[in-house]
Amino acid sequence: MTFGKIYEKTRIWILLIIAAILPFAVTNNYWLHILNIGGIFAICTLSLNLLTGCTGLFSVGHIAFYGIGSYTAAVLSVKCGVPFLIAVPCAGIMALIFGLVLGMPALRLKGLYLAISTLAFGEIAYRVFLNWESVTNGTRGILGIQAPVFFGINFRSYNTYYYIVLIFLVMTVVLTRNLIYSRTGRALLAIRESEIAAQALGVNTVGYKIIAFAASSFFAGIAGALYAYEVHMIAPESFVSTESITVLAMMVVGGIGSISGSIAGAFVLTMIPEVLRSTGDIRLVLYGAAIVAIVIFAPRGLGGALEWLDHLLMGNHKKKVREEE
Amino acid sequence: MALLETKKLGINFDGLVALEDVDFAAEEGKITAVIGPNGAGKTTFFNLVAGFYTPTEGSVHFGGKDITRLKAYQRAEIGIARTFQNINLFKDMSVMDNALVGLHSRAKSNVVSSMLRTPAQRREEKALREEVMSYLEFMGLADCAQEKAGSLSYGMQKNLEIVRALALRPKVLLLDEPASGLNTQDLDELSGRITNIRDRGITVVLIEHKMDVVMSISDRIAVLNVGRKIADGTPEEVRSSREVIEAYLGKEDE
Ligand SMILES: Nc1ncnc2c1ncn2[C@@H]1O[C@H](COP(=O)(O)OP(=O)(O)OP(=O)(O)O)[C@@H](O)[C@H]1O
Ligand SMILES: [Mg+2]
Repeated sequence: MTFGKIYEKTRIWILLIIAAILPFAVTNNYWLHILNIGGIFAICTLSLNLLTGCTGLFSVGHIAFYGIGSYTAAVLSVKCGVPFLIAVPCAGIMALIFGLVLGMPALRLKGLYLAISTLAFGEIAYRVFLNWESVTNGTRGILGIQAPVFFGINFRSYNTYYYIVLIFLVMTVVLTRNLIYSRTGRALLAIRESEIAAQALGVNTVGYKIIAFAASSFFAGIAGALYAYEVHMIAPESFVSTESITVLAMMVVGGIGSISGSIAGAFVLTMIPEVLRSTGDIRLVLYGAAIVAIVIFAPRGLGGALEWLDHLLMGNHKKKVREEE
Repeated sequence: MALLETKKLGINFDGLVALEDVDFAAEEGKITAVIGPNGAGKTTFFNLVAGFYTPTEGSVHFGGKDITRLKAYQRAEIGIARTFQNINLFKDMSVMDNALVGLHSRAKSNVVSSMLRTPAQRREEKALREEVMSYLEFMGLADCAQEKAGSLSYGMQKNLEIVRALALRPKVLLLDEPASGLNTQDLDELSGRITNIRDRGITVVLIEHKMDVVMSISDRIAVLNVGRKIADGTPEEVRSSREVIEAYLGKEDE
């Protein structure tokens, strides 16, 4: 067996093993926290990728669904004593419902108009988090979100909660990947490529756009819930509009439509600001420069670069060359 | 019996009459050509039949039912497939995936069964791929199933348009200038394929400027000129109609 073949057969397992032993290598609590946040944002970016990357529907208010999931989980957990394994799916479903509420009217809109309405929705959601005191506690936020406990193990510490995030990330990857390579996924991609042709082939484009909105907001809601349990307290400022732009940037840097890219984009853009923390005020400029550099040097995003590396390791880069021309 | 019929069909765009008073019938299992000079309203006619435009007057009937109110995707579901004059493929998707979208309304798996890859979903997916492969083979595209649709040559892209429409398992297939831009050798192949499609029982409606193709394979021909139907009949009848000669055949090779 050649190296390429062995690599092709084992790469998924190697990746999973590395992911599984990472908390033993990264012992610094601060960096473990950053890793967890990266994983949570990876789920959020994957969800945006379904909507914007695959279906071509521009959303610049995605953090609203993440926030709705976050608040749903926090309220259920702190005020109602609902356990983690019920609160998290509920958060996803709540976000999904709001996805439908936004999706149905918004789908009459196209391109920029849709983008603006999602932006407005994000802003409204933020105002609600801020002002609906009786439920959200306003600016004070919701405190005391207890970490989940399974089999007598408390998943409070970063290096244990890491595994919960990892499991959810892997599930999200598997589910969205399955979706993209299915009848539904092809319908979504077809809508992105040509709505007219999709209709001519029997795709109910309105129906599938709503499905895209629903599925996308569901996973964003799950990510939000995981965030609530990671930080134990949530407040409105985590869900401001610029966060939506950050998620959008993660998707673009990762490569539109790419699963591995969305994950890479989320981790890289979560880490860059932390790496640059020592540089002080110039940090934001460097952050922006890094994004521009990635977009310029990897036109198909980090996902495209990873794919290239993948082909190289598998040893069939000839296939790659043909694709480039 | 007429499978597809239009009655007094007409549409105007902001006052500009693009199509008026068109009575048309396509016999089941036959090839009916729609010809006419540039701008005659042929593509507009297809858009009305396929549900992309709403007529300002008249109606469209399919299998005896009035389908004028149905949306485009619903008309596809009941078996009306079309190709596009200006190729309209899913460029960034593979040839295979393009064709698989054609089978969309014939498949059942939904969001949940897809995400979970249930055994039924996997079985269905395998069957879909086999079916699509047979259409790709028929149109000579089997070897490039994994290529991106946008990377195919012009002729192959035109063929993929037909594959996609065939994957819909249509009762009637609307072909909008499938022969444009093809060389003579490809033309013969195309003619053979279109008659083959008809012989499988699919009703074909064919818009085409290439008269040798039209005359050799059509069972009936309808002629449009500036939005009106000016003649219809067998190829012989149409060929000898004075009105047609004046309106159209005189400038056949423009
Ligand atoms: N959406 C539209 N809006 C306005 N006018 C239109 C529209 N679609 C078609 N038309 C007009 O209708 C007329 C008929 O156009 P159509 O494309 O149907 O012609 P055609 O017979 O297919 O011509 P060709 O042989 O060049 O393809 C043209 O004058 C065109 O400008
Ligand atoms: Mg035309």
